[in-house]
Amino acid sequence: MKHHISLILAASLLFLSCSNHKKAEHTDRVPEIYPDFAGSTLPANIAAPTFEINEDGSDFFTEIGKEGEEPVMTFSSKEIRPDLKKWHKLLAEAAGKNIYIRISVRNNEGKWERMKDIICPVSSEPIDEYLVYRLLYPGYELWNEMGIYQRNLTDYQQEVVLENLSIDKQCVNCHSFSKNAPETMMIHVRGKQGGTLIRKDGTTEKVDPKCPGLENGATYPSWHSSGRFIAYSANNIQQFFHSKGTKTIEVSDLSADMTIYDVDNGKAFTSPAISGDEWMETFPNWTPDGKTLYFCRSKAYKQGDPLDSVRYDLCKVSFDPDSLTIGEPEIVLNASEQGKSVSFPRVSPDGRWLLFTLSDYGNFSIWHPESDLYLLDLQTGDIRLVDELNSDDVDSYHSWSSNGKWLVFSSKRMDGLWARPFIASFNPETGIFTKPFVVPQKDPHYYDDFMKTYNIPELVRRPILNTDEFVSAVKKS
Amino acid sequence: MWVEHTRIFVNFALIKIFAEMRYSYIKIATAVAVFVCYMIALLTLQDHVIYYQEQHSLFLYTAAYFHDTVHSQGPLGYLGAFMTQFYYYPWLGAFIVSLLACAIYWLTETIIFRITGCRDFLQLGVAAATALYFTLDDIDESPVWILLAAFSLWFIWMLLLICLKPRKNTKYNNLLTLPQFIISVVLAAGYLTGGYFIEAIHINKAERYMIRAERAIKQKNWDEAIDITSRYLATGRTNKLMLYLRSYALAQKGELIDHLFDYPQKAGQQALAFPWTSNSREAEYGHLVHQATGDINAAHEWAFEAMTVWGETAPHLTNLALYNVALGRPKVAEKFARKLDKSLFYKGEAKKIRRMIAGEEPVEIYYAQPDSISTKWINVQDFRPNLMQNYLANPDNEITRQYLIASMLLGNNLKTLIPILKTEDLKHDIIKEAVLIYSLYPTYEPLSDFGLTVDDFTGVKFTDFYKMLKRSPPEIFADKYGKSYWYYKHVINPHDNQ
Repeated sequence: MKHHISLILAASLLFLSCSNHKKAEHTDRVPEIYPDFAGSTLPANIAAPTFEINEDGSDFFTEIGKEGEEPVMTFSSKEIRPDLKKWHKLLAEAAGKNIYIRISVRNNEGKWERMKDIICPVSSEPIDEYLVYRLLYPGYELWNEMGIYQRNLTDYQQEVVLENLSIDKQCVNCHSFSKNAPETMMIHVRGKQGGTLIRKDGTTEKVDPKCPGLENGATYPSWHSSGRFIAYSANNIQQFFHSKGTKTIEVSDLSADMTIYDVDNGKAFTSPAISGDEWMETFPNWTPDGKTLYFCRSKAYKQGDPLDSVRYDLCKVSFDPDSLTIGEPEIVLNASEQGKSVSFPRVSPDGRWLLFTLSDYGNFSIWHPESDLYLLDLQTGDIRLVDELNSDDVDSYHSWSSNGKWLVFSSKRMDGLWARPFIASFNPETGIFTKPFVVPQKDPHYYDDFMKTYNIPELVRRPILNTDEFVSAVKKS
Repeated sequence: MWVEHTRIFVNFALIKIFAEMRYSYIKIATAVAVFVCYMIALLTLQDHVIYYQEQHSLFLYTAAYFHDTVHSQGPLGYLGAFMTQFYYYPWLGAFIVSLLACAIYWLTETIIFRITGCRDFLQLGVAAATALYFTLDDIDESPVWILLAAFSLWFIWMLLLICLKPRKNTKYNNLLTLPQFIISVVLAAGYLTGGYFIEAIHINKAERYMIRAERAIKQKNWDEAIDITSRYLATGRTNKLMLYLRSYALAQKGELIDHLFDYPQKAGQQALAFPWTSNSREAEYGHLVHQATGDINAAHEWAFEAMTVWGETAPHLTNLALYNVALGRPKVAEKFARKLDKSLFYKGEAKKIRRMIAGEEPVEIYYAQPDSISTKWINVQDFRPNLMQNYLANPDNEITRQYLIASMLLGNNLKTLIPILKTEDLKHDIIKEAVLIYSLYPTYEPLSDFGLTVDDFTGVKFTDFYKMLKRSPPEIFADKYGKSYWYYKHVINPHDNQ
């Protein structure tokens, strides 16, 4: 009997609460949610973005569903964590259409208000399932724990690719992939067992891709589309610290050249076109056809030069993979003339677009709050500031998905110090991005608590397998 | 007759009071002894270990912390961190560890009795508890072994309770004979006192000095910091960190110039502010001087490096939060406060930082006004250029001024030193000595241009010093001139610019 009374009471309460929120007054205001992804285009395979309703109120009621249909999920809490199974079913059905998030709030006067629906288009184009990044403290020179990880974007699972705890706390960095394929990739290791780990054709080896005759070792990589070559910059990097103001650090090249490493032969070569005393060349990036190499170039640094006078232009050279001939450098964008500096040129997989970062000086734009993303149309030569992606803080490192429909980039917009990976969809026909959203986490406040920075976010099509081979390769002398 | 009666009485008393005493009383007494000895040792010999471990660990009540700690340090690391958080109050930490030591003694004895049916008059439980004390020696190791031992013994005991029936003749075995009792007392006392003295002899005294000095600095107990560092340096050892902490405490008291050369400054100006050498230990303390002299960007750099190496501990999080409030980055400061808020004992710090962010409470650090500083970059090898800028921007900051003068003396930069001196600085002997040396350079601007003079007495003293320097080995006149600038310049000076 008692049981029945309880059930009746519970049902009545549920009915009352539902009926109350259903009688809510409609308002035109879009509710604030955190993290904000209102209006962002979502890949059909992305994990559910958890969020908190940033509105004042005593009670909340949230419905999520496909536009024009009944909700498939409802929540009575301020913090929303959709069930992954239901979420994926919803996105599968809504692919190519929109989903809505309908939020009702009982305000402090006890009245329910239904706010304007948050509408998110769902793209039928999937994003590469894995995101690979390095996690470390956004410190300066010392390090303790760091690692390279892969995150399954369809759920919230993160796995270790290579942690420095497994290799005596040496530094691991600069993971790079050929055409978003984890089967052809590399990782640098710095330390007593340092070297470059190259995985190709099912084997993982430690090599030294340093080019004979160049002063510095291989640094920033770019895989050639054939998987045979890796273009490297060879940098002498130094850190400098601002004595005042909110910008704390400057990372600058004191010298830099470029080299091409032939993975099949294990030999590196260069040319006066991309090395020498006159210029500093860095951040190489191949076009998908492998015939052109884009890079950033600045006049060589001389002792005593003000660091804020070091500015990089966007340049390119031609490359013949058969004869290994490197052409003469051409300036694509003379940014230094305009008092700006280019870093991280990345050509889209269709070869039409080139996205790069522009800051006031230097090339380590992750420490430059003014750095923004720019898009160059390689067909027309038009360049535009990508307003739809940029924020008031750092917007810097970026990488394309394998289908060129998605972009992941680092931004410090959330707090100003820690880089977080943001995803945005891209229309290769129009060159327009949609509103970016931060990579979803199980806990909506994950990024508020997490003290490490996301470094070099790279999308890959499949998970990196046999990760223990990296540890074995490092330990091999 | 009287003697005979006494003998009978004593025998009777011994039999009644000791030999037939229920063993549980002895056990309780021994457990209390173990507890008291542990408490004393932890709060005297090893108070620095308790302090150090608490300052290098911050237990957070979050799922992410659990996951990360178990992933990187294992479940024991997590348990160790959990225990270490109670070291926030040293007496509480010592109390918990002492209780665990008691448990180890108690369980060992109980297990032995369960297995053998005899009481442990060899006091192996006390021996085990004493042996485990030495595992607390390592400052970088959380008190996890003692916790593990206690849990393991408890587990064994539970197993025995299930698997092994108690002996029947427990009443007989609950008694100790007089010789057993005496052996028992002697051994227990031997283990405990022996352990204490072995620890007292073998403890890393230099480490203890350093950590105690650091604690005194953090507690702003300048006198204690000066006392500890003085005692260390008086042994004749040279340690850059001890000189650094001592200079810092002296500067806070306004006495840096008075006592700069009390002990040989063998590290020169590097003991005033560490040059950046990627040394993780120095990284932990490097921020102090920059904070005190208003170089908050530099302090932030050092503190962040320290957090990178030593982890998200309360001191680093607090420092970084303060610096970011001062630097006008409230979102970053809030992030550090948020971490502190998830601990048990630092919620108050988090609240305080949030009040500072909201502007309800002043930031308790000195920040040289950024607009008045023209230097763009921090010199990570030599802090003097930035120090000079800070001084010029804020000449009233006494700490900056002391550091500037001290760095010029230690670096033998008399040409830069003299223009910033005031006539009242001549009350310090070492300043007089430096001024005299300056006056000997014929190409330098005359002292009168700066309103400074050299008194006759200093001149006579220098003549005497110079004679000794020419004729005798430095050790001979160290007592007389060891604390002078001249002695530093000509004998100690590591900078190769005599």
